[in-house]
Formats: sequence, structure tokens, C-alpha cells
Amino acid sequence: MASTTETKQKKMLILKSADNDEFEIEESVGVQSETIKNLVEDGFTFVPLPNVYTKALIKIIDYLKKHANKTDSNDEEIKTFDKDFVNTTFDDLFELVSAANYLHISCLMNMLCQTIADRIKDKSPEAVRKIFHINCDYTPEEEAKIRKANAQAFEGQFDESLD
Amino acid sequence: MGQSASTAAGAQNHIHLSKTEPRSTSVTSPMKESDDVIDMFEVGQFDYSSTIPDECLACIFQSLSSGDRKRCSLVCRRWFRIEGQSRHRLSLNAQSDLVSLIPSIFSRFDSVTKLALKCDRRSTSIGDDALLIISLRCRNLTRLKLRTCREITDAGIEAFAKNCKGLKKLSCGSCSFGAKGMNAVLDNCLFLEELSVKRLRGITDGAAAEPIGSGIAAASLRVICLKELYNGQCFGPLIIGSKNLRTLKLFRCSGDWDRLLEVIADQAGELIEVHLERLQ
Repeated sequence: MASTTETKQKKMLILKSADNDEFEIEESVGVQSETIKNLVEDGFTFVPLPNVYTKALIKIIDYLKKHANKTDSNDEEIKTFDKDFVNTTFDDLFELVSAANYLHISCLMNMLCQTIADRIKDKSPEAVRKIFHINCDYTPEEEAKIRKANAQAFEGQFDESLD
Repeated sequence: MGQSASTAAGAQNHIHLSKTEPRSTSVTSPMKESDDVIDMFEVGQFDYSSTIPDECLACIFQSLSSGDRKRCSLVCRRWFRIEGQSRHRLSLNAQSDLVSLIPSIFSRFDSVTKLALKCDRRSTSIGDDALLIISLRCRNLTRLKLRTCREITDAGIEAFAKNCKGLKKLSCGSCSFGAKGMNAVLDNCLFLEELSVKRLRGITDGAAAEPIGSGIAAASLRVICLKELYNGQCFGPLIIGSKNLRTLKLFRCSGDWDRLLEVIADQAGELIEVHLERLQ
């Protein structure tokens, strides 16, 4: 599906998604994931990923390929790629962040978390619940109590400087 | 490593197509074109965030401001729990009535390593008892910032220093404790790297100011910053004794600094930055 390029010299890996699709990628691309790297070090060339669905895996393989070819000259190109990569829906972002977490790809994790954070900042709790389809499980009393605690003890902003 | 179990929302972790409910039209994310792969995440109305592990949510919260984090704590119980456990920096209004809230605050935020306690000029600040309870609940504190906590005395600082020996940075401004408290910090906090002191009233009292010695923190101290001190020279032994000091900043500190600066100049240790401003 994704990469079928046969390169004899290069070590290849097969990744199997949660919905049983298989993807062949170069080992050097795959080992950017700590999870895959550990399996490769243990001698595996076939890597089942029961927590990663095909749709997310396709995107993540794209990401890994792009980032495996990082050089000094394609910095801008990768930045543009990353920007496009996260320009997607919340549901995609959540699927990707779970997958990136499972695969231990820290640069991707950080980028996705930052993106999600940027999108929920300045939003009211009600708006956040709507976006994430979260049912509020507080009683009105509990919610009022937390509001009060938040207002009472904490300053509006944490002053980052300690001077 | 698997997904951590979520509490409240955990029941919805597994998505069944039969649970489909109409999607709210107010959702900001646009619907996408369908493709061959069944996208479970577009099918039903459920807590998206319940499908992601606690550590991912914590990572998202790390990129949010304190105000945003507060709002997130109001979203649901799970978010409240994760937000609290993943908060490392905390800034509290340190008025005297804070003391009754300390147990609940620090069981909610049980991983705080950087704490700021700020009181305003017109209010009565927390005292030694509060600082003691805080030090017992936050033994892993690496940074403490005190502002206008005038009720805290040498005894409170000493108790704190004994309980929080891992402190790396201390910054205090407009506080009233003195040399004894400062020495307790320097004698107990083996890893102290940075010390900032502004308007410390305790050292100006009395005719003969007690010298502030280097203590065991001398080896680790890298930065000393003194501002608006009337009797700043009592930090002399500390400055001279801190052999690994890299930065020394003195702002608007009165008195004679020449002798001290001469000694430092002769020593020529690790010091690479000296900033002097409006010394009188």
C-alpha cells in the first residue's frame, strides 16, 4: 500500500496495522519509533502494531519517511510538511497522538500535543467539552467548588520568570 | 506500553458502531470525505479524549498556560485528575487564609516541583506553619519563589530547607526573614544553583549583621543575584566561598562593595559574568 519499493541492499521491515494491513518500510525509517527500534534490536522484521489503525499508520509512515530524509537543506520543506500534517481534524489528531505515543516517536508526539493545545487554548470548559464530545460528569456543586478553588488560590498566570 | 485506564470516561474507550448518535453541528472540525478505511473516530459521538492515554493528555496540558489548565480542570473528572497530577509549576496567592487550603491543593497537585508563593503588600501573608506544611507535602521542590511573604521567619525557612533539600533555585523578594534563614538554606540545600534575593528585611535589622556563609551549597551555586539590599555585604562570605559561581549580579545595593569585588577579582575562579548596576 504505502511503500513497495524493493531495495535489495536496504534492510526492510513489515509493519502490520490493527486492521491487518501490512506496510513495508526501510528499517532506517522505522527505527525513528522507539517501539519499533526495540523490536528491531530484538531481531524482529515483522512488527504487529495492534494499537495503530491503517489510516493513522499511513500518515505516520509518511511522516517518518520525510523526517528520515532530513538534511541541512530541506529544513523549510520539512516545516511545510509538518504544517500540512497537523492541519487536520481533531479526530485525526487524537488518533495520531495515541499512535505516536504507542510508537514512541517523541518529536511527532510533541508536535501533535502542541497543535491540540494551540487549538483548545482560550476556550471555555463548555467549548472544550463540545469539541471533544465530553460529557461533564461533575455535579453542579462539584463544578462550583472547583471554580471557587481555582479562583481562590491560583493566580491567573504563572509568571515564568523567577527573578 | 498500553493505554492507561481512564476512570470516568473509561467506559467509552471501546467504540461500537451501534452507539452512533447524531453529530453535533457545532463541532468545529469539518467532516471529511469518506474513504475506504472505516474511520471509527468519525462515526459516533463520544469522548475523543478518552481514546488517548493519560500521558498524552498530560503532554497537551504541558503546552497550555495556567489559565487554560484551570479551564481544562473544569471539563470533567478525568481531566481534573490528569491536569492536577501533571502540574509541575504552581503559583499561589500566599495570603494567610491559604493555610486551610494547602492539604486539598497539594493532594490535587501532587507533583509540583516549582512553586511560587506571592502575597500582596496590603494582605497578611502565610506564616511559618503554612510553609512547613508545604515543605512536607512538596519534598521534591526544585524551585521556590517567595514574594512579600512577610510573616515567614527564619524558623519557617529553616524548617523548609530541612525538608526540601533538593532545592535548586530560591528567589525571595520583600520577605522579612534574615541571615539565619538564609544560612539554613545554604547549609541544607546541597544542589542550590541559583539564589536571587531582593529587599530582604531581616538582614538590615540590628547593628551587627550576621554574615551569610557559603554552607554546603557553595559548591553548587552558579548564580547569585542581589537587588536593593541595604546590608548586602553580609552575603560577602557566600560570594567569596562559592567557588563555582559563574554569574554575580548586584543591583542598587548600598554600601561599600570595593573590598569584596577586589577579593573576587583576585580569586578569578569560574566567574564569567559580573553585572553591577547603581551600586551606591
